[in-house]
Amino acid sequence: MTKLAQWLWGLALLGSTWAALTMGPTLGLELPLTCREVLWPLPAYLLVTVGCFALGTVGYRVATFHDCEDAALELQNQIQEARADLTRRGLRF
Amino acid sequence: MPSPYPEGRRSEDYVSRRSPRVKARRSRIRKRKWFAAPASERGGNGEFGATGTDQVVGLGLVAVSLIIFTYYTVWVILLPFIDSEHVIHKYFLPRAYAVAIPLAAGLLLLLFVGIFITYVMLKNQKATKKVR
Repeated sequence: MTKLAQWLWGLALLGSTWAALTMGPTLGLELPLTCREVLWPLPAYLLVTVGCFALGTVGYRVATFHDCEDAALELQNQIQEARADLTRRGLRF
Repeated sequence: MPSPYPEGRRSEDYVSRRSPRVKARRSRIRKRKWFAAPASERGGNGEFGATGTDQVVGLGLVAVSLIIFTYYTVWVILLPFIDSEHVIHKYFLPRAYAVAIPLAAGLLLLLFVGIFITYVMLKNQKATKKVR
């Protein structure tokens, strides 16, 4: 089974469980009020959590990225050299 | 290129890449290479190697995501278990907004992404039309 199929399968399972539990009272299943209060915003909550986790990870990686300033300058010099060389040989940018 | 191994290599000779001996050897080589590099090429040393604004932006993003996460968790998960007379309910909007606000924000995000994609595609089309 492909990864996409696995993810869709898992999502469908969780989604149907959530739908069954939230619409339960209309079908006869009785849950305590606090549980129902926590249950019905759950998909939105999971989405926001995943979004926050992604944002936090991106921010953390940006903050701890090991910059090499010397290598960056050297690379830019090499790029300029290459441009000069190529324009000399006739290539237009 | 002739194979360095004798013909008919047995399956018992196979050492997995993930065996602890191989991993330890690779880790020693990696550490030796890093240590042998001149100090300027080791990149940013220490905990945070990024430069000024990068660090600020990154830590700001982490802080924002933590704030949003804790506020939303308390709102959605913890509040139903707290008595409705407690003073903390004053700091949180009615519960319906807990789904409405992320939904609206998501739709806005999709709108902006769509606008951006349309803009880029139109710019591309104009560029190719000019070349022709």
